[in-house]
Amino acid sequence: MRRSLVPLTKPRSLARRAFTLLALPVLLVMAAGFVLLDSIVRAGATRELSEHLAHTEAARRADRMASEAQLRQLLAVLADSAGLKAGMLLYRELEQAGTLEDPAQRAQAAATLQEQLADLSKQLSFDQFVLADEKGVVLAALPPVARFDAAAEILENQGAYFGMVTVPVLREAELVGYVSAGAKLDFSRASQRMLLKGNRVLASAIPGLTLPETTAASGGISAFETAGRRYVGHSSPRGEYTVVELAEVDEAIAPLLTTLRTALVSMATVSFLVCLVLSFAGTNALSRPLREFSELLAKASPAGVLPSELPSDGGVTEMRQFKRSFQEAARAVSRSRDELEQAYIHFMEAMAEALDARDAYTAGHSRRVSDYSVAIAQALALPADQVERLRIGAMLHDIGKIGIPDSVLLKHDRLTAEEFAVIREHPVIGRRILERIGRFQPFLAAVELHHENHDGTGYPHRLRGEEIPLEARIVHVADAYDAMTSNRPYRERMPEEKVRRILTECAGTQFDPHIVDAFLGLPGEVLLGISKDLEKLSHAIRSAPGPAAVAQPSRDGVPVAGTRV
Amino acid sequence: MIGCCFWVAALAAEGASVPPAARVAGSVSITRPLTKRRIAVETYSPRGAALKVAPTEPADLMAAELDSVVIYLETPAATSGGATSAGARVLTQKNRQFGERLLVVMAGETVSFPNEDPIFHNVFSLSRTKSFDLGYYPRGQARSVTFAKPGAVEVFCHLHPHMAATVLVLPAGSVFTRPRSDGSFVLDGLPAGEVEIVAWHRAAGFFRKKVRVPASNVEFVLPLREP
Repeated sequence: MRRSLVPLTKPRSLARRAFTLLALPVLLVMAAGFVLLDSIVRAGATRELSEHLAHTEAARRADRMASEAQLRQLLAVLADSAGLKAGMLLYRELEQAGTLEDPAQRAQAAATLQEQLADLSKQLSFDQFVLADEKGVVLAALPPVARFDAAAEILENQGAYFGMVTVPVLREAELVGYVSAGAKLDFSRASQRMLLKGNRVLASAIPGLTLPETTAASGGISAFETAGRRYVGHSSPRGEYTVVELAEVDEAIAPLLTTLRTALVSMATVSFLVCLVLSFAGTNALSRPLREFSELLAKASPAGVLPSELPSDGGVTEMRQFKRSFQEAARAVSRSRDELEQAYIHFMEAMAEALDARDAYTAGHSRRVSDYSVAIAQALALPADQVERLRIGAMLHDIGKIGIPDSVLLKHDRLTAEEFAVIREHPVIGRRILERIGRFQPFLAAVELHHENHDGTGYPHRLRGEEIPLEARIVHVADAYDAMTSNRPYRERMPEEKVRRILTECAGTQFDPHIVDAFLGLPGEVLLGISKDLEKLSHAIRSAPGPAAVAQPSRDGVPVAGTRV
Repeated sequence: MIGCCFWVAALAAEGASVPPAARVAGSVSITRPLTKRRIAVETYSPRGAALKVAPTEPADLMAAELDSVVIYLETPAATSGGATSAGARVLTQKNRQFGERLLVVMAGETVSFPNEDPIFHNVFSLSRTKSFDLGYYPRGQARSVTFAKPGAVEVFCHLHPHMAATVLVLPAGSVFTRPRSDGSFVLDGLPAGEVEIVAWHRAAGFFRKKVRVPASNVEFVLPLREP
C-alpha cells in the first residue's frame, strides 16, 4: 500500500496558532493605524497652521489697513498745512521762472521745505519721510531718498525697505505735492518674513528658501522648503512687491506631534498589552480543554485503555460535542472489549465443553484441576492476575486430548509403546491448538508443560526444576491428584491417604516440593468441596453402561514407577 | 482725464471805439489737463465707507483750467490801454475763502486784504516775487501789501490751509485779458507791429508767442510745444 505523503510542516500548538491569528492582525492594524494617524495629523496640522496663518495674516492686514487709514487721515491733517503748500509751490515758482538750476535759490527753497519736514517728523515717529511735488520729484526727504513713487506702498532706500503711507497735498482740488511717511520693514532673522519682487527674493529672514512656481502675486498660502525645513507662507501683494509672512511648519506642529506621539505610543502600548492578555486568555480558553484532553489521551494510550473520566469541556460547544462523541466511542470500544472478553471466555468454556464431550471420564476433570490449581495458588498467595491465568490455563490443560484417537484414549488395556507415544503428544497438540490465539499466550505454559517433572524426566521438553513455569508445576500436582482421586476406565479411585502418601513420596522427583506442601496444607473441606462434584459425577458414570475400569496409570499422569493400583 | 481739445474760430473783430489795428483776438486751447488733480488714492475706512473722490466733470475741468489763464502783453511803457488800476486793489477774506482765486495787478500797486469773517485770518506768501506775512488779524481789519516786482505770488492763510489765492503781478502798464469760457479772448489797446503775447497758466507757467498786431487768429495751445 502506498504510503500517504508526510506533511512537511511541523505541527504547531493550537494556542500559538490562535494567539498569532489574534494578536498579529491587531498589531498590524494598530501599527498601520498609527502610521496613518501620524500622517493625517501631520497633514491636518499643516493645514491648520496654514489656515491659522492665513487668518492671522488677514487679521494683521485688517489691522494694518485700519492703522494705515488712521495714519493717512493723520498725515492728511498734517499735510493740510498752508506752509507746506506754500513751500511746495516755491519749487514750482522757481521752475516757472526758470531759475531752478540756481543753487542758491534752490537751496533756499530746499531749506524751507526741509525745515517743515523736520517739524513733521518730530510729530510722527516714522523711519522715513518724503515730500514730493505733483510729478513725484523728491523735494525733501528724511533720510534722503533717490527716487519716489507716490503710488508705491514700499520704498527702497539704500538696501532698506519701508512701508509707506502717502497723502496728497491739495490746493483746492489741485494736486500740489505728496507727503509720505513710513516705517522700516523688518526682514531680519527674527521676523520670519520675506520680500519678493515678481519672483525674485529681495530680502528674506530665512536664506536659501526655494520658491514654488505659484508664489508672489497670488496673495495666498504657499509652501516653501529649505534645507529640510518646511514653511508655510502667506503672500500679500504691496504694489509691485510682495511680502510673504512665513511660519515654520515643523516647529509649529512639533509640540502637537510630540504630544500626539506620546499619547499614541502609550495608547498603543496599553492596547498591545491588553491585546496580548486577551489573546492569551482567549486562546487558553480555547485550547485548554483540548490540551488537557490530548494529555489525558497521551497518558492513557500506552495502557491501551480509553479514559472514562474526561476533563471539563470549558463551556465550548464543539468541545462538549467532541467530549460526548468521544465518550460514546469509548463506551463502544469498552463494550467491544467486554464482548471480546466474553467471547474469549465463552470460547474457552466451549473448548472445555468440547473436551468434556470428547471424553466422559475427563468430564469435570478440567474444572476440578482448575479449582485445585486456584486453591494452591491462593495458598501460595499469588497475585490475582496470575491466579486468573492459572485458572484458565488449568481449565484448558488437557485440550490437546481432542487430538488423541478414541482407540488410544479410551483403551481399557495396557498401552503399547506406540500408543503411549501418541498419548504423550497431547500437551504439544494442546499448545498447537491454542497458540494461534494471541489472547491465550499466557496459558500455553500450563497446557504444554503440565507433564514436565521436577527432576527433568517429564515430557515433552524434559525441563527440570525452576525451568518449568510455576503454573505448569501447579497444574501438574493438581492434575495428578485429581487423576488419582477419580475413577478411570482402567481403575477405581484411590483412597485419600494413599494419594497423599504418593504425592509426598514423589515430591522432589516428579513434583515441586513447595507446591506439594502447599497443596497438602489445604484444608480438607476445600478439597472435599471440589471433589464433591466428583461423587456426583462418579455416580453418574457408574450407573451408565460402560467398559470396566482398567488402571493405566501412565495415561493420565499417575506415577508410573512402582504403583499399579 | 479728459484731454480737452476744442478749437474755436477766431472771432471777428467787433466794431468798437478801439481801432482794429490794436486788437489781437484768438483762442486758448488746452490739450491736456495742466493742473494735476487729486489722485484717488485707495483708502480703507474702518467703517467700510469709501472716501469721496473729487468730481472731475469735463465742463468744470475746462472752465477751471481756463479760469487759471491770463493773457497779457508786457509793455514797459504802455499807454493807457486795457485794464488799468484804479486805486488800491482788494482781496477779501470772507467765508474762509479769498475773494478771488486769481487777482491780476500791475507792479507797484497795493493790494489790501480786509478780513470780513468773524474769525481771525492770516495772509502770507513765500513767493520769491513777494514774500510777506501780514500776521493774524480779526474782522474789520485790513492790511495791505505793495507788489513792486512782477511775477506770481501764491497767497495762503496759516489758520485755514484750504484758503489759497494767486496774485499775478504784471509789469506796470501791461494790457491783459482773461479768456472766456469758450477759450476765446480779445486783447485791445495794443501797439501795432510785432509784439510778444504771453499766456500765463497758474499751474503751467508762462507761454510766449510773437504776434503781429493786429491779429485775429492767435492760437495759444497750452502747453506750448516748440514745433
